[in-house]
Amino acid sequence: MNNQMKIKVRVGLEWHQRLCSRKLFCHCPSNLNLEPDRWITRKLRISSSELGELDPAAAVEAARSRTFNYGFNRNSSCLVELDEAPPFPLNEEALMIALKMALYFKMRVVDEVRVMRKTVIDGSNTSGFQRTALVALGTPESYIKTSEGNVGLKTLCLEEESAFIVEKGGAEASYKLDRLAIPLVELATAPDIRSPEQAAELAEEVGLMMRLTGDVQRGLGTIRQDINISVEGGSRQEIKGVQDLRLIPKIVELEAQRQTNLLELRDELKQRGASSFDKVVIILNNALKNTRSEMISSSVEAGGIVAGLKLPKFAGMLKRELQPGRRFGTELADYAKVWGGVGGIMHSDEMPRYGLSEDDLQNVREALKAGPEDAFVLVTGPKDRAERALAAVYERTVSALLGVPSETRRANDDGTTSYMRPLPGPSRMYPETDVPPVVITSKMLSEARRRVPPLPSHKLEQYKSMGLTEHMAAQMLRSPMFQLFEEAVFEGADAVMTASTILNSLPFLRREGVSVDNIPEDKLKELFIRFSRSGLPREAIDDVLKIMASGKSPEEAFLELSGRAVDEVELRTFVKDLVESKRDFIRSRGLEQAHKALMGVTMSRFRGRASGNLVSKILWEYLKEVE
Amino acid sequence: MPYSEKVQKVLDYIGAQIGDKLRLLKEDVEIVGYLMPREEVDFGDSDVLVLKLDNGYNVGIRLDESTTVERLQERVSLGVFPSLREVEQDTTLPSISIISTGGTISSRVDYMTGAVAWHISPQELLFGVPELLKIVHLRNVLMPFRLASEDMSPLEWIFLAKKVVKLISEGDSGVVILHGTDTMHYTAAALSFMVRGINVPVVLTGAQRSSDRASRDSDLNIIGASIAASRMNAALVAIAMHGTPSDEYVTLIRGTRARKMHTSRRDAFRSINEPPIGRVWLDGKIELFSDLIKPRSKDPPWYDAVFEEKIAIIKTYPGSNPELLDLLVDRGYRGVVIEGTGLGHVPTLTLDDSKSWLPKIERALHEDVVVCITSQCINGRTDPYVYRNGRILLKAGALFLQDMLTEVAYVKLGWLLGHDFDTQSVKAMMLHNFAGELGTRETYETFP
Repeated sequence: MNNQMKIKVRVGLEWHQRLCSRKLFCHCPSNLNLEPDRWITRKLRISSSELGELDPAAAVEAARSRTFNYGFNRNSSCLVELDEAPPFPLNEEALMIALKMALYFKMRVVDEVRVMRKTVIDGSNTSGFQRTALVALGTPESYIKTSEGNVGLKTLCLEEESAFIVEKGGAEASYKLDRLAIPLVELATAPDIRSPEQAAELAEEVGLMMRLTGDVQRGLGTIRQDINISVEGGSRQEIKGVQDLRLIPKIVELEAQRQTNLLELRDELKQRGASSFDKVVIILNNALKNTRSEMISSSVEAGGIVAGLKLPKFAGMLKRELQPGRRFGTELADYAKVWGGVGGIMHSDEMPRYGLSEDDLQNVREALKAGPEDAFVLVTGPKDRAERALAAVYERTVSALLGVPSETRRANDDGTTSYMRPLPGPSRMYPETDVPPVVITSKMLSEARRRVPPLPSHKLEQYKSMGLTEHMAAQMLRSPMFQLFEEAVFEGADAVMTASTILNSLPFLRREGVSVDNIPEDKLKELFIRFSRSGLPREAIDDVLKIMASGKSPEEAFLELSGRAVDEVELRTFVKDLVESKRDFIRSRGLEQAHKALMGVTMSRFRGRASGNLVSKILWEYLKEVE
Repeated sequence: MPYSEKVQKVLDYIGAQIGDKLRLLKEDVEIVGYLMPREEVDFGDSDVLVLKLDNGYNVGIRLDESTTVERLQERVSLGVFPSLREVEQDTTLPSISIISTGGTISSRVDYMTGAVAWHISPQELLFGVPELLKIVHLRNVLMPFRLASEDMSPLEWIFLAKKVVKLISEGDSGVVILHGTDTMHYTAAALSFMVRGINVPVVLTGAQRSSDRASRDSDLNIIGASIAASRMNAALVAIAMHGTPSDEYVTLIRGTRARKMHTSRRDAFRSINEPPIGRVWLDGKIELFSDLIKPRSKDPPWYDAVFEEKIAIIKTYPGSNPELLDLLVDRGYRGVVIEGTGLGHVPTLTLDDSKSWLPKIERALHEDVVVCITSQCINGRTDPYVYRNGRILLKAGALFLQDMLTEVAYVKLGWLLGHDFDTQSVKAMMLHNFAGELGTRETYETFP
C-alpha cells in the first residue's frame, strides 16, 4: 500500500450510454428481445501492415484470421449489421440526442460531424471497425462539480454499440447482432479524478444527468463505464466493461497496485542483469515423448505440438503476484489465449504440475538450454496456434523489461483486470467514406437547446416545491421512474403519494415477491392519477398494486378492492337480455352506433361496479351474435 | 477546389498545407489537429476545416470571424505507404499471373485520409494475401489500366483477351483478373468469346467490401480464384466470388452464365439458367459439379478479339416507345438486343398503334439489322410459340435467343458483328453455342 501512495495515478472516466432510438446507420429497431434464427460465419483479416510487419514471409505467420459466428433475427438486424450493405446516413434523431447532451454538459459542438471507422478486430463488429463520430469538445465551462473539485469533460462522441458475445472459444467466437449498432453516446472526462471515491461520485452525477435527458435506455448494460488510468512512470490503460459503479474505486486501486508491481518486477530484472533476448521457440515433442502428462500426450496424439520458450533470468518472476490471485504468469497466459487461441500456458514457476515429472522438466530445461535462473513457458496445441501463443508470450515478456505496456483490459467481477488487446492508437481511426458528413446548422442547435433538461439542482428544487422532503426529492431524482413521476404529477396525481409509492411501495412489494414489474408504466400512471382522486387511504395502494400485478387495470383493481365489483354473470345476463330486446334497433343502426347507445344504458346501470372496458368487451361479444 | 475560396485564402496566408498541424482558437476553445483534405465531391460545407485531432477523430470546424488559426511546426505526410521488402517465392508452385484492372479489389487504403491507392506489384498483393505464397508462384501482377468497372468498354475487353493469351503462352497455369464487380460478367462473357481454344482457367474475381476492413471479402475471393486458376482441371473463363454471406467458399460460375444480382452482398454473383460449375474451399479443395467442362490441355489458345460497337440493348415495357429502335436504325446501328417481357414478347397488338414495336422491328430487319430477343425475367428460356405475339415476332424474323442472358447476348452480338460475316451467318452463329452461353436443359435447382 505504501508503494502506491508514492506513485501518481491519473484517472479519467468514459461512459457509453445507449440511446432510445433506432440503430445508428440503418432503420432496424434497437430491440434486444429476439433470439437469432440464422447464423453466418466470417473471418476477420488483419493486414500485416496493421501489425507493423513489413516482411511478407513473417506476415504469413502473423496473419491471424479468427473465425466468428454471427447470429441474427430479421426483426432486429438487416444487411447493414451483417456488413452486406453500406450504411444509411447518420441517424438524425440520435444525433439530436447527442447534441442535446453536449449542450447540457456545456460542451462545444463541432461544426461538421465526420464519421470515422475505428478498427476493432475482436469480432464484436462484423465490419472489423466501429463507426464513431466526435460531436463535441470540452470547454472551460464543461465540468462536473464533485466534493473533491471539478472534473473537466473532454469529448462527447456518438457511436455504434458492439455485438453481444454469446460464446468465446480459442479460435472461434459467437456473437448476436441485435445489439450491434444501437446508438451510444460516449462521454470522456479529462484525467482530473484524484480519488476512487471521487470517481464514484462523478459517475453517479453523470449517470443522473444522462438519465435526465430522458432519451437514454435504462437497465442493466445500457450504461457502461470505461476507466482510463495513467500511472506516472507506468502507462495508460483503458479498462472496459465496468458494469457496477461500486467497483470503480477497487479497480483503480488494483490497477495502481498492478503497475507498481510490474515496475518493481522490471527493476528487479534489471538488477539481475536481464535484458532483451531473441525469440527461440523449441518444439519439445521429442524431449517429452515419454511424458505421462495427460494434457500433453493427448494434444500431441491429436497432431499438435508442445513448444517451449526460455525466458532468461525470469525464474521466480512468473509467480509474482500483481493483483490478488493474478500473477505475471496469468498476464502471459492472457496473451497466449488472446493471440494464439490456446487454452493457457504452463510455466516453470508452477512446476511440478500437469503431470510433468522431474525427468520431464529436466529434459525441457536441457532442450531449452534453461539454467536455474531462467524461466520457461510451455504451450501445447495445433502448431500454428501454439507458435502464435508463444510469440505473444515473448512480446509481453520483452515489454516487461521496459515497463508497463498500454493495453485495453477487461474488468473482472473482483476488481482485477485481464488483458483484452493493445490500446488502439489514433492510427486505428480513419474516415468512414460511405457516410456523408453532417453540417451542424444553427437550426439544429436551437432545436437541441430547446430540449436541454434542467440541471439536477433545479430539478431538486422543483421536486421540493411539490411537497417532497429533501431526502425524497434526491431519491426521486435518482429513480429510473422520475419521468413517470413527473408526468403523473403533471396530470393531477398527488406528488407525495406518487413519490412514496415509487420509492417505497414498489421496492417493498418486489421484495415480497409481488411481480410489480409486470405492471406497464402507463397503467401505473393511471393508477397514481385515479388514486389521488379516489379518497382511499394511502395504505390501500399496496393492495391495489397487488391486484394490478395480476394483470388487472387500475379501475378493475379499485372495484375489486371496494367489494362492489359486479358479478360477471349478472352483467352478462343483463347485456344478453338487452341485446335480445333491441335486435331491430341494432340492425337499423349498425353495430358501431348500437354499441355506443347500449354502452350508455349498461353503464348507467352498473356505474361504479363494472369497468367500461369490461362492459364494452361483453357488449361486443353479444352484438356480434346479432349479425 | 475542395476548400472554399475564403478558407483557401486564409490557409495560403498562413502557409498551411494539407498535413500541417494547426491550432484553432474558437471563442474559448482551443482545437489542435492536422489539416485534412476535403472530399473531391463534397457533401459538407467547404467553409469548414477538417482537422484530425490527436485522438484520431476528424472534426469539422468552421473558419469564421470568431476563429483564429495558426500553423504549428509539426506535420504528417499523407498517403505514404511503407516500402515493402522483396518477396521470395516458391517457384516450384504452379505459376499464375494476375491482371488488376481496378475496382474495389485492387485498392488499398491510406488510413489517414481514407483515400484509395492501388496494388501494383506482386509484393503488395502477396503482402495483403500472404496465403498466396503457399498456393502459387505469382509470376506477374499487371495493372494495364485502372477503371471502375462501369467505366470499362469493349476496348479493354480486347486488350485483356490479347494479354490473357500472351500470359498463357508464356507458361502460366492460369490467369486471375481482378475486376470491379459491376460489369465483371460482361468482361467474363467477352473473354469467353474472344479467347479461342482456351486451355487453362481464366478466373475473374472482385470485391463487394472495401479492402480497408478486416471483414473484406477480397482475400477469400483472390485465394479461391488463385486456387482455381492454378489447380482446377478445367479450361474456361469463370467468375469466382463468395458463394454465401459467410467466408466459407467461393462459387465458380461460367463466364457466360454469371450475373451480378445484388448491389452489395458478398454473394451477389449468381449462375443463371445453369447450376454453378463448382466451388473452391479455403483449404484448397476444389469441387466441380459438371463433367461437361473441357479439361486443361497443352494446346495454346489464340485470340479473336474484335467488336462492333454499333449495337445496343433496349428494354420494352408498358408504354415503351418503339421510335427508340428507329433512332438506332437511322444512326446505322447493326444489331440490337431487345429485352422483352415474359417468354420474349414486345408490345405488338397495342390499342394505340404507335406503341406497337412490330412495324419498327420489321423495318430494322428489312435494313439488315440483327434483332435479338431475350427476357426481362432473367431466369428461364424465351419461347416464341406459346403466344400469338411471339409467333408474329418470330415470323417477322426476330431471333429468339433461348436461355441466353441479355448481357451475354449483347457481348456476343458485338463480337460476331465485329467480323466480316454476312447477316445470315451472324444470325446462325448467334444460335450456335460457343462458350456455354446456350443451354438445352434447365433443371429444377437452377432457379432457387
